Amino acid sequence: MITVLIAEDMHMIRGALVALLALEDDMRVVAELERGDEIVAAALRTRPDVAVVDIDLPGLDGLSAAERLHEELPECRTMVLTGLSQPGNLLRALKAHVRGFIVKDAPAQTLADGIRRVHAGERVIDPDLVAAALETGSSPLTRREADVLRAAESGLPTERIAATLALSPATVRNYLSNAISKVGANNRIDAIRISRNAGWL
Amino acid sequence: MPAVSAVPATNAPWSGPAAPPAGRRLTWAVHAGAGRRTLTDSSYSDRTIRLLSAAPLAVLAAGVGVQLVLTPVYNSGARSTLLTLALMACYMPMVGYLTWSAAHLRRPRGGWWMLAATAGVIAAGLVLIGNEWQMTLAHLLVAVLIVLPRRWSVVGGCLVLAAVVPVDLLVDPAPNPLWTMLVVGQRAGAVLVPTWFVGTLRRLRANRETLAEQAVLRERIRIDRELTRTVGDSLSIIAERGAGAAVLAGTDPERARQELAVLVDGSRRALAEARSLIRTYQRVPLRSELDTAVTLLSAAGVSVRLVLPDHGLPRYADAELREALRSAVDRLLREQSECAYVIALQGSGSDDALHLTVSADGTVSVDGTAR
Repeated sequence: MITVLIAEDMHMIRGALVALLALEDDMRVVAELERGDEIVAAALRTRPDVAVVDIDLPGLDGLSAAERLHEELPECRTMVLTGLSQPGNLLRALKAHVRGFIVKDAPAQTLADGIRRVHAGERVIDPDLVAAALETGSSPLTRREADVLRAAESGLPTERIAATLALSPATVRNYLSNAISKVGANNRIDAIRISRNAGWL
Repeated sequence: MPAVSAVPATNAPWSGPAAPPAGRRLTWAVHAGAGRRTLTDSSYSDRTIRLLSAAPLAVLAAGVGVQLVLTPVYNSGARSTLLTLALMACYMPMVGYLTWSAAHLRRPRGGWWMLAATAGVIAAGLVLIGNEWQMTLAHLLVAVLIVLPRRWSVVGGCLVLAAVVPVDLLVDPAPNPLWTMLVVGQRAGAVLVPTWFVGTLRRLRANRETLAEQAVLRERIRIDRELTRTVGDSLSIIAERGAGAAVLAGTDPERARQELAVLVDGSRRALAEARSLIRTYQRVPLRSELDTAVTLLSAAGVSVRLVLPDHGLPRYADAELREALRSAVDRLLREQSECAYVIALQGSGSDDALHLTVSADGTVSVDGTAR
């Protein structure tokens, strides 16, 4: 019997996932969560074989949660559900030791088969996601530029970003300017949107 | 064959989907503050045109200064200087307005009246001041060439230049009509050349914007046609099938179930078509795809090395090569092997075709050829 933890913030989708897996004889859902920051604690309590995690979760995003889960409970394998709109997340997911990466609109049977294969130690990645990731290209941003964009995303003014990242305001402005130029954006908001969609943040 | 080690692509030259198209930036770009300004930067070219628009007015103002300096030199009377000042104050604003309008490609309001008034003031100046005033005929020539319709402006301009001859003979104690005509023409040209230049720049910019709008429109129509042909047709069928299934649900649940199964298949096909269509709009350079592939595989713990051809890579891969690369990456991501892989792109020798091979310990596991 494969024990599964499900983390999905949308109630209807979570219910549908649980219902789908309930139809499988060899699977049992041991935890249903709607927040990313609850995943590690629930996993340590229930010890699932596979964690099925959505990327966009409140509290802590799915990939960060997967990374922490791998540190705390390496025997639990993580499978991520995502949309094709953020193919750059594939790279982050692979770095976070995610074993499965499946698009949300895949056929229902793909999920159950994917969980079985991930449980068996295989890596399951939707070929469409691989194609989309290759088409998106690698991130043009340096680590610092990505940090500055992330800080700017939260609406902080330049001086606060500089204080947070221990940089001077002029350096922050330079990083922002470089990032805007590199991603071909018109302004910092546009740069954040493009980078976020490509999964570079 | 040189071996190119897999390197993190983070600092690689940017070549993602949002990169500006090649050739957009010009090589003479100048530094301006933190960013780079280029000729194609619209705000920069706008500012340049605005600055250049002031050039004809500056030349006119310089002409006024020269005239005010020359008058006392040739005629020591203060009366002539004051008259020059007064008469120029009468007509120069009008000539300035005409020049400004021409530089902005606008038809001057009351242009004919201004031309007549300018001609009157300049004629009066010739009578009242005499010899040193005749250079102001250059301003009359400017007004004539701007106000008159194009085909008549040449005739009008020639008439003004021709009028210089009798005027010079009448007012100049040592007449030299040819020289005076040359100077008048040169002074008029000093105002008109920058005016026409700025006007031409504005016309070019307007035409460029029109072409860009037309290109966007054509592209939208093309995308609309392709979407209608592919996804639109599929969505229509899905809608019809869905409506049919809804009707059958109450009377024949088994057929409704079959219809729904067909509908689900159709939906997935439509989704695949939409993705395939969107993919054709995205062109990522081959080098970027290869770097991304290596980065993805390295992140997954797959050790991989790139070997590239001696003669360099084509900028973009064709469909076959892209497909070969994708299937190679897809397969290697699923592989659980511990061995190191080599992704090699080699020319086939006889033609320009590139051959992609993926090998582990010398064993070819995936290959693909593309031209």
